[in-house]
Amino acid sequence: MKYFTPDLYQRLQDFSSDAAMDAAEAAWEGVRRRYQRYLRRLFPTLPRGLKGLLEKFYLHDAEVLSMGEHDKTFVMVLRLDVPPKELLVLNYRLTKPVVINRAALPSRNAGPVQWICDEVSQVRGRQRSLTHSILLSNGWEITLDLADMKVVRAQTVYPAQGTSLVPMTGNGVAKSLPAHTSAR
Amino acid sequence: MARKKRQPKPPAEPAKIFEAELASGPSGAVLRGVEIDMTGAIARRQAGENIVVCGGSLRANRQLAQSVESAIGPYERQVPHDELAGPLALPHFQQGDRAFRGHAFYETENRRARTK
Repeated sequence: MKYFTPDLYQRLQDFSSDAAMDAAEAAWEGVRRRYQRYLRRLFPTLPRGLKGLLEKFYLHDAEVLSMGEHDKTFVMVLRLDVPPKELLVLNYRLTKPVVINRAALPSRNAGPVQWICDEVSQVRGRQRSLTHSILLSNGWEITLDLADMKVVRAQTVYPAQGTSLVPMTGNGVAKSLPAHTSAR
Repeated sequence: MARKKRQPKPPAEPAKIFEAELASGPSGAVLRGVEIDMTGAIARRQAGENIVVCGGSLRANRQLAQSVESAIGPYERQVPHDELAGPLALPHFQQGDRAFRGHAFYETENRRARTK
């Protein structure tokens, strides 16, 4: 994350005084406006699927039901927090293997994993590369270098409303994680 | 020419707590329901429902929302992420344990809850 850094997020959790809380909010708001300007410039160049994801869905607090990868594909299944709590399947076509920093946030929330925030950025090099970075409530930061992505939306059949999928042990991570994940 | 005297800002109304629901769709809007007291607000949060604090100054609204949320357990603060979707979202407190659903939203100078 270049704008909504884990450090900026942690500052919001300083409840020591009104002044500290005001300052953290002001800092976030400043970054939010800068990112908004950046995203508006970048937006016309984004793949259609990513445009739709950013425009049509409020992703904050969406529950991350599962994630997986195969070759150059990375899939996330979300259940939105806003009514009617639809399912979204995000299907990314990657240009590089996914990078998962499992220690991006010092505090990791218990319970089901939720989407905190995300940002899109473009790096201009020999080849333009587009990155979607996502911060999750379990402290993970997921970095996806993508060529394209698709979104499928569906009415939830399972798990039913009011049901959460909570890891029974540890953080619910598969024992054999891809080699490019880290606990930095 | 004499400058016009600025009208002093009217004193902020006291912060009040209301039942709340999330609006459907991408707006992130919070729908304000009936007014409730502190006991009702805590009961509602314990049940995983939403509340919203309205009408006061930013600090008064935030402090009251924080008081409600702190009565439930360890909490954190979230602010709107509305770069494209979610232009009507409100800042809020919520439980650190995400198995506990719901939020304690609060209004700011620029962001207001909608009436149902």
